Amino acid sequence: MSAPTKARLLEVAKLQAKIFHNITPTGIPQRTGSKILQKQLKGPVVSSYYGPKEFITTKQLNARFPLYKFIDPEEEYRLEVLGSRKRRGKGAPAKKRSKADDSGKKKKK
Amino acid sequence: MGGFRFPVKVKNPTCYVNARVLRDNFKREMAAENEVTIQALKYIARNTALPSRARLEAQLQLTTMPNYTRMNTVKDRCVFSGHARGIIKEFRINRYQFREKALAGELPGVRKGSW
Repeated sequence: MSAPTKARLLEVAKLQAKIFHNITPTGIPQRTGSKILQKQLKGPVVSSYYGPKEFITTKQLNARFPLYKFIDPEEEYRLEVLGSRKRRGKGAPAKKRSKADDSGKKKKK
Repeated sequence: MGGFRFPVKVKNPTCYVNARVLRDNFKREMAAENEVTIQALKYIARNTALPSRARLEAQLQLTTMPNYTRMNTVKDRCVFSGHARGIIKEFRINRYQFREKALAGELPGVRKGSW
């Protein structure tokens, strides 16, 4: 069986357009892309998945309401651990002031 | 933009954060930002009424856009642990975190089933 001719294909397309109410000047059904435009935008939903980008911190709260003292338990715990380390002499070394009192570790050659 | 891990600077989320959450957050921001552009390009490319040159150009522009602007690279992750599997979508939580939170009474309206 030979392949259908171009004229025959056009005829089929025209018939198809007639059946599916998609008539165009050329007789060939068109894809207008309206499906894409009808789609709802989901950007705002997608970008807000992880919650708000800005949330007031304890530090900011304390700055705004100086009469009250808000406590951040995590920060308190951190300071507590740091304090106990310092008391045992395991804290961070003091910053060097000048080149003279360079008491830090030296690289062995 | 120097000293930043992604090509465009975005704000970090306030929930639990790890590298993968940050990456996903970045993709979400970029996908949301470029959504309208991508839709417009898709519309031009798919519309058979428009000249074929314009359609081809739109398609080329679509393919040259970076991957992080695509909606389908976004993955739901747990907002409490950053885990990517077993997410209960309504709560945005991993199934294990969901169990922990629900048993602790931190999820309003959620009760343990008993019959």
